[in-house]
Amino acid sequence: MSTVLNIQNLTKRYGSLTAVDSLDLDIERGQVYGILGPNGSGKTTTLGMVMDIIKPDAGDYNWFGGIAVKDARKRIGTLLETPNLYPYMNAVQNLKVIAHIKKVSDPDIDGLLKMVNLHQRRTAPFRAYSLGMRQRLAIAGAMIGDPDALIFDEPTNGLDPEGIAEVRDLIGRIADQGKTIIMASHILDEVEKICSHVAIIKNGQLLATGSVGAIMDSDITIEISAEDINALKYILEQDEHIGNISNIGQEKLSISLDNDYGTAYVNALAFRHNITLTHLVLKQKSLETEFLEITRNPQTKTY
Amino acid sequence: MLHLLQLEWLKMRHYRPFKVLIILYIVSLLPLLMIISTMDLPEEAGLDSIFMFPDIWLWLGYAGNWSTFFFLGFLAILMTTNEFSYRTARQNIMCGITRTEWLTSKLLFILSVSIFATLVYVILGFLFGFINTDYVVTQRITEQMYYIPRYCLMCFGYMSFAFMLSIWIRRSGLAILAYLTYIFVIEMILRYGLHPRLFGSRDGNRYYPLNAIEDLVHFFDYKRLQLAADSVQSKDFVKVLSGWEAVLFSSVYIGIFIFVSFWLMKRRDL
Repeated sequence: MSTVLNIQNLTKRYGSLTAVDSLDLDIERGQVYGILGPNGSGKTTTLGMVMDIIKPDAGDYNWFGGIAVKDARKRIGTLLETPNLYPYMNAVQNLKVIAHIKKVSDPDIDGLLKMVNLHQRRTAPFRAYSLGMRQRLAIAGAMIGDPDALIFDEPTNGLDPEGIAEVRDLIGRIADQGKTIIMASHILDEVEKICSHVAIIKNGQLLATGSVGAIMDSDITIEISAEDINALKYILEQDEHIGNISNIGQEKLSISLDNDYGTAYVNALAFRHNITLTHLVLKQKSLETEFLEITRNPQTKTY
Repeated sequence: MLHLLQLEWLKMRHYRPFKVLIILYIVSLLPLLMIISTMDLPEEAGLDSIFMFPDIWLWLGYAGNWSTFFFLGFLAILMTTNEFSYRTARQNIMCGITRTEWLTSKLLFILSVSIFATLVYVILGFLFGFINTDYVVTQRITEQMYYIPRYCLMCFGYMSFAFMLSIWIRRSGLAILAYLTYIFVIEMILRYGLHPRLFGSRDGNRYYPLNAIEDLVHFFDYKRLQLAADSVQSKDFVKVLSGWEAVLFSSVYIGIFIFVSFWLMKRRDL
């Protein structure tokens, strides 16, 4: 695998606020990489810095193993925050400007406009477009010149449910072409559905990185119950592979287990101590629970 | 270079205010010239030959001085501040041009507009000159043609000043306000308020940036001005910079405007 983007120690301060704090990231070719964090966590600032529109205070980054940054940018399609296009120009004219900057001599403008379902409205000025249409045109703009990597920052922000579905479907189709996608979002569900890898950021600090699958099932949560719940709790507390025991109401316990241990292990453990379980359920964690847990105790984890 | 110029053309060719301002620039030249011809100036100003060679070069140039200041100055502001309000400047950079290239693209376009504006001036100058000069003698046509390159420098000067303000302020309304306020208020205060206090007299108060650019194609003829000044018996009567002084100082100021634009653009976030 080759590295698409390598970020080292990247830092940006706005007065006393550190928007991005010594961030390190590695994004490999073919990954659909989600940068997940609450609003104001430094996602856009990070992407702005690697696209040279925001000047970092410290740190370094390189694209595609260290080629000249302006050449790298021509191979990346970017949609940062809002669709930034000329309101008085129509779709075709706007895409031509982008193609000219990227030095793409023969852009497939018709094909791209069909892909984002704007071909029929191609001669209407950008200012007359709805937000969803603007977002889709910006995605078409990002796809000009068949880029190696794409950056989408909050691509569904402010869209209605139909617009959200369209944009997600579009990004999914682009990802299926094998392109590297870097997507910033505060919407967990979106990252869980679209991304293969994720970095979780809060207050400009990296809290966790890894594949979405690994983060979600790094710890297994099991709901468990027995006649004598205190005895059960006692034996669980003695076991080294079980952590985080908490009561769910009067009747049930919730426990987390190390990666390689599952429900069978818990069942056998109880059986050895002559406790019969009355309830045993494996809870697949969602990225949401994981996210809330990670952001609650800030300590960088790598999965 | 051509690639960058084409980029700006792609952006401007569909921009209606661009066409409107260019047309206003062209059609305002004649009415302005007519207004000047009705002004109550000393006889020595020579307004009777205003439409004839070689005086046409100065007087049409002076009319163009106003047109350029307003219409082309506003054009330079709009074409630059728009890129910030539409956030297309940042998108342009993200698409792969450098900040230096982005600025160069704008400056090349401003230079092209200046050349175009000068061409309009030359064509109209010949047109009015040939219509109104009874005996067209070649020497009379070319006598004051040194105003032509100076006119072009004047256009570029006003526009590069407007450009610098736009890069600095980024908002079109505020930039236009700053542009007008600078020339009509701030520079006046500097020249007539601060300068005499600092240096004890008004001598040398015409070396300020926008005045130097204005004097490239100045109010009326320098030699006649001396006569006029004598005739009104006033030492404080308007003096203008000599041709070479105006060219030299304007060039230096333009260099500073461009340098400041690059300096601001290079170090600020978009």
